[in-house]
Amino acid sequence: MVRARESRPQAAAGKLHLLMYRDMIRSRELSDRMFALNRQGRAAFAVTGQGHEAAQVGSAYAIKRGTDWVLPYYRDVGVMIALGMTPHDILLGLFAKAGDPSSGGRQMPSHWSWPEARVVTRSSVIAANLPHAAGIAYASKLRGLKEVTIAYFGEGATSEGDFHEAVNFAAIHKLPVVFYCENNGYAISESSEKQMSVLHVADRAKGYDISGQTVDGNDIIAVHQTAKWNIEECRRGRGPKLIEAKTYRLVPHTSSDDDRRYRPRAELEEWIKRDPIDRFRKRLMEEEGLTEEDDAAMRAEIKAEIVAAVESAERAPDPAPEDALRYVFAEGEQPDAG
Amino acid sequence: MPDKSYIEAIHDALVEEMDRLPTMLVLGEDIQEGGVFRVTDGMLARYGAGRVLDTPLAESSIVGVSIGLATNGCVPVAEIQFADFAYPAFNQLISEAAKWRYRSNNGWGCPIVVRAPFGGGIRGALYHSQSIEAMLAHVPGLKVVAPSTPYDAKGLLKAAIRDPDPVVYFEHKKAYRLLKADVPDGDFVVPIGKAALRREGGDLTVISYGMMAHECLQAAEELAAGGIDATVLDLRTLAPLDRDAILDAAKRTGKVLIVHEDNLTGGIGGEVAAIIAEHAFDYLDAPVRRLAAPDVPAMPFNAPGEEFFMPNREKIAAAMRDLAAY
Amino acid sequence: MTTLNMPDVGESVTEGTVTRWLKHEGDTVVLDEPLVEIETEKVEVEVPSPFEGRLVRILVQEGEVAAVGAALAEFEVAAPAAAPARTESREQGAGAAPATANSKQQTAKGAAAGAAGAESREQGAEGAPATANSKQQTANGAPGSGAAPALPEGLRRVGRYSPVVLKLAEEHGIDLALVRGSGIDGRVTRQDVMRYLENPMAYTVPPSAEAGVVGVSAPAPAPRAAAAPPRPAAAPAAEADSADEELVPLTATRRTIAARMLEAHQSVPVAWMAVEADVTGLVQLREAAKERFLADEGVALTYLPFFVQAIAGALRHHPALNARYTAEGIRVHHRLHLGIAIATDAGLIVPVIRDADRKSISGLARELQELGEKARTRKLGIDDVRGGTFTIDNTGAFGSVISQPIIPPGQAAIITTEAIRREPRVAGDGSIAARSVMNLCISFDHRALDGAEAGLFMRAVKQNLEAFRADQPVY
Repeated sequence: MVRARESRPQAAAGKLHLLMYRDMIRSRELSDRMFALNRQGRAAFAVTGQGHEAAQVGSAYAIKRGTDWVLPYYRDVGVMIALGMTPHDILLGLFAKAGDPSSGGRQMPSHWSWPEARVVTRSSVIAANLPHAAGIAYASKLRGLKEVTIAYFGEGATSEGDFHEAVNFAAIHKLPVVFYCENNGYAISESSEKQMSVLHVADRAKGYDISGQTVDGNDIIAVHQTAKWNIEECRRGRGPKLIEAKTYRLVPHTSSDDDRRYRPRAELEEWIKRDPIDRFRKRLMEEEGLTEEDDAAMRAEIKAEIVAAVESAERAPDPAPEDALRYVFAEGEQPDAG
Repeated sequence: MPDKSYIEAIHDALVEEMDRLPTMLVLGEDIQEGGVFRVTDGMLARYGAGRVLDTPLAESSIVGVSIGLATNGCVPVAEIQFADFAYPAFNQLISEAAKWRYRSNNGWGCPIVVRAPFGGGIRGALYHSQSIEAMLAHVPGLKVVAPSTPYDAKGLLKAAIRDPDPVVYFEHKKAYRLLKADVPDGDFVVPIGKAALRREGGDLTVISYGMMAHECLQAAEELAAGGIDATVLDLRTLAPLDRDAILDAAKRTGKVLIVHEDNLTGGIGGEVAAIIAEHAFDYLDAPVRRLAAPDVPAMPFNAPGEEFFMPNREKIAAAMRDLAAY
Repeated sequence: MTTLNMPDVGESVTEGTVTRWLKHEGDTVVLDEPLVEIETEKVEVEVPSPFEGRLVRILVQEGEVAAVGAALAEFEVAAPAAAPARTESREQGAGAAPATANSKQQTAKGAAAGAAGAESREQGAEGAPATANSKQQTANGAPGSGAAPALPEGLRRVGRYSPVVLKLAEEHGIDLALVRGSGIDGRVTRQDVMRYLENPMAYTVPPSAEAGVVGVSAPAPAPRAAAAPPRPAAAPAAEADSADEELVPLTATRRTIAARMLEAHQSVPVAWMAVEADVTGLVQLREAAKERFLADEGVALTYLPFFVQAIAGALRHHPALNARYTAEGIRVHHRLHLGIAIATDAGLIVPVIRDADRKSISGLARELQELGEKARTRKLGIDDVRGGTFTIDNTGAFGSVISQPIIPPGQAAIITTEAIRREPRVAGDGSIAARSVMNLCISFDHRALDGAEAGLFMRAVKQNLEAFRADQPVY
């Protein structure tokens, strides 16, 4: 296991940090709002990322949007915000509207798909998309393209056969793929010791002779630097990487889960104190000149943005019922010869 | 026109398409040394290890990686060594490939081809003889084909490779070297979704696919000598079924026998029978019958058991005679 | 002499090449000793000897190709060869149902059913397997699966008509009881109906099959015992034959005629009238023209074409006669399809001349000749006999001078043309002359027409017939 380097403040990075900070807030605000909408009976289902903002936004900022391939999992609202999906579009998915970019309202919310940003469609089947990531990366290598694929997942996914098959394949062929695990200690109700015999997900890398790295997933700077370094190493052809970002989920697994059944309040309280957004704000204020007023203004602005997005998304049209028949196969004339 | 075996026709299709499409790959176990049946013989030398890929012994990722390859601009033709071993890949085929376009609201397509040898009669026992097509034909989003002639083997494989959606291509392992016929060199396509009327006759209709289509045709020729004239329809594509051809063939005679070597219950025969019963009821002159393998897990290794399990020319002819006399 | 055959090395190999014989003609061989090297597309193998003995003759030389199973060499064996226990085991396999816990006796039945035909059908029907595992019976496509249960000898299956048979019957107006069935237990098949359509005479039910017809109401397996299957009224069992009389069984045609005539008689109020026409001119015309006509047209010129033309002409002006009565109204036909009653040894049959009003004498003569020929040789098709709107019965051919015909169901009237005879008649000026005269009689449906209309029609017919002159061209 490689310890993450201690983050160092860089002046030039100030602007970047503010952008990342804003996206963290956006992600949190949106997550809170989606959960509330479910509790209000306005959204059938919500799965959100409160607590994961540093692990998600920090890593996503290391991705070359539109070049690199991204396979986020259902908790990765922060990744999608960082890649530029608007709250309005995300909410279209929450409300299962016809204009939902991920699936036109066909999939449950947070099953991300966005061809323009090379965010690849995924199912609800855990880890099934990891071999896809390996295949995409193989194609990048075969075609001589300097693309990196980054696949996101929770630690539960690392028990699935598909995780092992994907990492194995990627390792054999030294593929440009980063396997990025957001280890929050729980797969729904199961804590990690039920999930794996190793202490750290990154330890699994040894079994495949690839590099595995653990990072404090609540330190956005550390996350960003780690992600950036690993992604660029991949781009340089150094083979697949396994990153484990240690973090914590501050909410239930989804709106259908009651986390009071399996984790103690005290543990949650402890992690709330380590909230990554608070932590970053503190740093920004202490080291990069962020003022209370600016921060308050920013938050208010983002809150208003989200409120407006909820309103506009909720009003958007539903899919037509018969649309359910379309796109089983490609529509229109199919080429036969050549 | 040259005489080609079924396996040569498949090989030719692969090579011609590999030549035509620089981003096409073949991948699977033992592909590089030619594959256990020698389908991919010579391809490693011709195209290199990048495009002729030996995969680890991991069926789920054979298909999963293929999906990724297709997503990033390649044309993957994966091989599962025996259809009997495809089950670990079912998750990728059914949860992922079949639903790829649908769930992304046409944002993405999944143009993969998965080839697998299927079928028995070669003393392959329970795990080298199975027919699994019905389970996959049931899944919306997958196309499933099973050619019964060398010509169709080449044409359908090319069609599958060019299809923008996932196609599962079942090649009958007994046919590999047994069937030889004229197959043109060069490019041609047999469209997916179209059955082939192999024979016309007014006394009864037989519908089948794979090696059984071959057996049915032989039985029909035998019966013709005795004055019973059969229509024989080779389905070729199992999903989507060629409904028009099925109904047309059924209406011609009103007596239908469906033959397949898959187990009876839940086999393709049931779906074909239901289509006929529902849409050609007024044309029926006899109950729609099916001749298929018994509902046992798979054919035994011992020869008497295998023979008992499988339909064959004689059993088909007897069933045809019986139906003609009804 | 025992042969060594090309081994089946499995998995799709169909032939092999003998690359090297390791033993030669005359050599002795021991069990398992390598005999020959074979090369196939997949593998190269060395074949160990399955027997002990002497290699007598090599049949396939090095470098030659042989199919799997083909004889490679002949051996004299010392000990009994490992004769394939295949046949034996096959019988075991088929007869002794697998001794596994799940096998039911049905398995053995199912296996046997492949061989036994009717027997298995009964098994299949009665011992219908109630267990899930016995699908094997059906699965094997043993004839027993799904086949109709057999009826005792002599009983015919009537009333169990398949959808397509019913559809065809409805489309073509066929009485299925008349159609001969060639399917199982006399079932009427689709092809039987098609054959009947083309040739009703040839494909109607033969008389002997009338005995013991199983009626519609009998559900298939149950009433096998002859417990009162519904019998047709004309069942022959009622009276025994005696020396003073014989019983001629009803043909299908006779049966049909009987039914239709009875129906017509009972349901239609028939009125009747007759007129006399002076056909002296017609007789002269025909006498003058008949030889030339036969030479030119190749058919004989009878009076019938003239009768048809005269009647058709009259019908044109009196359409009420070319009609039929229905509860909803009188259906008047715009086209004239004249049925011509013809007597054959199978009974009365009425082929139809379509659009008779559009045909010339020679056209009518020709068509009448054809229809008569077809009728007599039983070659009439379904289209030849359907769709008549009015009927002509040339009773005069038998010498009849007055007849009272029965109206064919579905028509409003029928006319007879009686015999032409030479009679003395008083002319307008009071003189007596020998004239050729004939009667025409009409029976009509008084619901559809009154005597006045019928009378006017008959007058028109008479006038048409009387208009023929010896000097008229006939064409």
